[in-house]
Amino acid sequence: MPGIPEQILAERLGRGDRQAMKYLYGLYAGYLNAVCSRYIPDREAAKDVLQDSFVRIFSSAGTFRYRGEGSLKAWMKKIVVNGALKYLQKSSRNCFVTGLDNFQDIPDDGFDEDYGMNAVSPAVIQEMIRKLPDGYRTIFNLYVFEDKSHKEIAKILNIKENSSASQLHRAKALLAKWIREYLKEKEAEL
Amino acid sequence: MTEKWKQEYIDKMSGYSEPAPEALFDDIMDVMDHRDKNRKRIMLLIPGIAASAAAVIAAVLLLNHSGTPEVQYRDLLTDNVLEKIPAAVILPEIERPSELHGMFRRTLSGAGTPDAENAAGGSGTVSLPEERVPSEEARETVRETPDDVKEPDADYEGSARDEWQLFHDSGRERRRSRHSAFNVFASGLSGRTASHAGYSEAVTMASAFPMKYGDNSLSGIMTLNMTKDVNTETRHFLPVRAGVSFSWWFARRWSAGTGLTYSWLLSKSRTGSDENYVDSRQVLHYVGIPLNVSFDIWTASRFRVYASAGGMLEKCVGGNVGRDYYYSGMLRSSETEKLSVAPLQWSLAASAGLQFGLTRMIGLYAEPGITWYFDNGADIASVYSERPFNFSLNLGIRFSFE
Repeated sequence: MPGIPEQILAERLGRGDRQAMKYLYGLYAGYLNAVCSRYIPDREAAKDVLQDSFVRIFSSAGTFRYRGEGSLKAWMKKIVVNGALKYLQKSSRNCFVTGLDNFQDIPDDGFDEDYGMNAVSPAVIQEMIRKLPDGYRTIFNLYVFEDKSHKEIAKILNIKENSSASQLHRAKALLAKWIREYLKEKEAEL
Repeated sequence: MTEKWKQEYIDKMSGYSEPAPEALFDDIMDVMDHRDKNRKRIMLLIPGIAASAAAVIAAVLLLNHSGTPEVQYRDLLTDNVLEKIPAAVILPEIERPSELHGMFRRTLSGAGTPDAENAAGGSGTVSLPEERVPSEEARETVRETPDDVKEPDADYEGSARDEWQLFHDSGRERRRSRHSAFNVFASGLSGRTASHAGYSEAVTMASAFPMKYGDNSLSGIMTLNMTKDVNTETRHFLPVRAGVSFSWWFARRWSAGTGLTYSWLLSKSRTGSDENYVDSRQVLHYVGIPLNVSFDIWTASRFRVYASAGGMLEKCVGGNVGRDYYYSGMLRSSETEKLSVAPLQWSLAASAGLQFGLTRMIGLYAEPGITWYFDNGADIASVYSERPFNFSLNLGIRFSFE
């Protein structure tokens, strides 16, 4: 089934076409897996959420309305992110309100600098994001990749708006720190 | 206007992908197939469960229909019963023996003079005035209850037990013998109900010991009832049970479980005549450990419908019986007594259940089902011994482990 337009694919999915499902899976499973594991570091849990998300995608494909190129991909991503958030809320280790400030030694400046992300592969960035503490990671993901405002994040996660802002600040700082360290190590290896 | 740093991350990660786990697609398809099947099953299942639950409830209510407070004390010797009982046996009973204890003898010899050897006690027994023979006309139609026996046992001429059964049967084929303690019965709302002429077995046993009028309330009642019809009505209510369960899932839809249950057994009885009688109320406390296997019929996000089969071991951890003695309808004395049932109680059960999950691990469940209680030879009658095959409803909290 080469190059099926999204629209046709969506239609077929809506009718429960298993071939279309297989095709869609082949096309987007990797991407959606990456999104999922960016939210959930636990591989087993991420796999479960991904599975549930696909089942939901396939089951509710009938309700999807094609709205232009990329809308199918965006719709699927939204389902995965929602599934991940639901899981994170249930999981007991999750704590969106981090009272402790463990990273006070991070300098306040340099956040908008170009900290040489170009030299770092996406896989490494992914691992860094996964390494973030739970609350930071979720807020970072929602702010950066889902383009949510702090107000919206506060509503989704049931936290205060300035808590969201400060956690994002710390997430950014941590990542920046790790990227710098990574680049230094890479330089040293050379 | 997206911040620069943000855009960098977006650009970097937008095309990033990680290969999905092997066989995930097959798993997804399995779930989809499962859902389609479930959808069809639910269409049949919900009305099916509703129908069978209604049928079980109807059956139980029907079988227990005899239990209403309006049961009047009646002489069971209706024409129906009389037809089947040869006169030779009936006569001694009608001509009630003059000695008090004779009323409760179990053996009746054919021609009908009281068998002196069977008299309990010797010279210490009280001789009471000859009672009036209950008139034949006093027979009213007994309200037919499934629990009362209509046919005497075929070889009634044989054992005392069978003859006893003619007039004092509770309607079950297998009568469990009890040897001491006051049997407590209750009638009414579900559980087990029985009515029969004569005193309750326990009173009968108690009266085997010689006593004089004035000795105690029981002897007083029995004396006062000499010229009256006496009857006994019993009610064993269905146990109220609550518990905590722990379940482990060892396959996708199968789980094994155990737990702890507490059951509260209530029984009530009234024995005597309309004016002079004994009212008793028995409560037994049982603690049990169930063991069962369950199969998930249907699961949704928070709900779970399942079928379960297994057994339980229970032990009576306490109980008491309270008795009120009434003369001419007025309370004369009361007493309470502690009870215990020594033997362990085994049972088997099959049930269907509905569970609502509060969290991933904790859920609330309701399990209607049927249970069979094994005969453990216990002295004390309760719903477990009198109605061993019964409807049950278990409620509780379940902790689930995957």
